[in-house]
Amino acid sequence: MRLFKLPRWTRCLQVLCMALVVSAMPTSFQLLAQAHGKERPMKYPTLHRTIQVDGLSIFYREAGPKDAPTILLMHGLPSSSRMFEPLFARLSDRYHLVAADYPGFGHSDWPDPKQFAYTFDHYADIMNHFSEALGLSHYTLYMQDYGGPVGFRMALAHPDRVEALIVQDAVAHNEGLGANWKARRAFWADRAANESALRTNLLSSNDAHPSCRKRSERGSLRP
Amino acid sequence: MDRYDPDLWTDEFAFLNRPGQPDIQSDLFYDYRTNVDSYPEWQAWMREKKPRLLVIWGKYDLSFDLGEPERYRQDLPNAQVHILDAGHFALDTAADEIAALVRGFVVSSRERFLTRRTG
Repeated sequence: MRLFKLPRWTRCLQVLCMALVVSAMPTSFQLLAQAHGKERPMKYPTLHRTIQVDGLSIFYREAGPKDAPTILLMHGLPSSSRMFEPLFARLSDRYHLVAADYPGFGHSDWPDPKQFAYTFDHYADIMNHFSEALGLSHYTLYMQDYGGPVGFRMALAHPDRVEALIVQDAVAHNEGLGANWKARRAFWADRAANESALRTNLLSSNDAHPSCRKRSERGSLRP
Repeated sequence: MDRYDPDLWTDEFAFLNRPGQPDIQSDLFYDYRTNVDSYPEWQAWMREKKPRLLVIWGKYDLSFDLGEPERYRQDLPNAQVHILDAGHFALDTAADEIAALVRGFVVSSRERFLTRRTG
């Protein structure tokens, strides 16, 4: 019927519009692919901050939504909060992750041992005050190596804050310290006589303790 | 071998040899003896408070005795224990596995409540 026959210019306009839509589709799909593909930026990048705690500058890493379950990560020797970056990258979509550097480690202050007591009790106090400064009232504690003694002290001091514990290569039983700890126990029994040997053992790249180079050859990998 | 980033050990070696570090680390390690004295207290706390516990361990960890991860079950029989194909610094080479374990373990208290209700 003549009523429904559209003028030619309208049909041309229709074709032009369709052409425009079709030509825009690859860009749309590309954006969609970007939204779901590898180019998607991290929604919760790691933030690198410092805060004053008990007169010290404490460096920490934080990522993830603040209203998500909090995981408070305690690092070991000879590392820092940096060791947790692989977890921050993988878990910040669903968890609130916080990891601090202890005094004398990483980017926190390194006060003089003559003025500052480098003890695990002191570390636990500072880390408790740190978590309070950030308003962390409940968390899962992830403890690696030295993070075990720091974290367990924190848990005993404030059990109400602990939702769960994750222990990763950290000891809570005397039998956990094997035969290779004999020299270290000797240091504990007589510090003066064994100080030099301990420093070599703990701080050298050629020691039996899997810090530094040895760990890359034996401790971290399949032998 | 190629999963391990060599900068991780060179950076840490550099850190330990910076001025002031030997004195700091010696003091701190001397204090480590107080941890051994505290172990019974931590064990008693775990038995009393019964926290949920996930233990992750690298089977090539040379620092500690390999019986240690299972030993936590003496304090918390329901602890989840996972031994990974990794060393003491397991995050250096097994981050994917560890992240997956953490995801499966850390749930919000609301999720835990709902799980308990629906059984």
